[in-house]
Amino acid sequence: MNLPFFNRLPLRKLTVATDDEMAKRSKEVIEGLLRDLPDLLMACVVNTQSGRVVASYTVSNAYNPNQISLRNAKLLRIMDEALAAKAWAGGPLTDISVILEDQLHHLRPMHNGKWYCFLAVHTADANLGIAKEIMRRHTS
Amino acid sequence: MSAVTVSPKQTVKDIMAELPTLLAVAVVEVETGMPLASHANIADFDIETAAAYNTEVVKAKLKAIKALNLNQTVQDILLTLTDQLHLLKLSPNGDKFIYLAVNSRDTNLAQARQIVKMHSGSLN
Repeated sequence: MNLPFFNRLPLRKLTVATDDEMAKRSKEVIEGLLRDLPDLLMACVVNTQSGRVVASYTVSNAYNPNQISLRNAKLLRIMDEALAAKAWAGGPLTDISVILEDQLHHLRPMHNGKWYCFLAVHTADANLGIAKEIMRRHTS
Repeated sequence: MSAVTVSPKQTVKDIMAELPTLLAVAVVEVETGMPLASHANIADFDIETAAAYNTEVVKAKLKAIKALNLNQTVQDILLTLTDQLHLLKLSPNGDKFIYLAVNSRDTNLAQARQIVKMHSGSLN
């Protein structure tokens, strides 16, 4: 059933999908990110295998974590395949950053790639170095 | 951006001249996922496979950005591996990208971005 009321995105509020260990840890990660980057646009922790959003925070309807969770999960699977095929002569993937015109997206696998954490910020609020460092601190 | 267009082969040569310590560099066509020009400084590096996988990464990432309807252009995509940086930068019309792999001990992100940015504008 697709009821728009139930699908409405809670804005500026940390939402956690379930109540297990993983969800608790994800909540901590996003709380930590919010403490260090109060102006962030969106943050979410996603199960890489299923693409399910475990915990998320967003400031506007335009940044819907459900719309990108699966696509980013697919992206990570491609990266895993690439590393398995030895397409890159390098160690495991640490993170992926995408720099857009006025914002940047940062994606970091955690728990041996079982989950990933996604972060979007305006470049006016944080630079890539800061975003990377904050993400590293909270997800490891 | 300069109006002068430079061939993929020349772009690869220019980047190599500026960054002799790079691990691999390639100009890849997005449509086919094949390298138009490439160079690698490591022996067991299959640039054809790398190009194909990188194309998939670019496509997957563009889809994810498109899903958000942000109306923004992707400037560049950066993959951090344990001791390497891989940078993917699309050409202005989006049909090719420059792929640059460097050792993070030799080259930092700002240097790699600067070099790729300089060359992607005139790529054709």
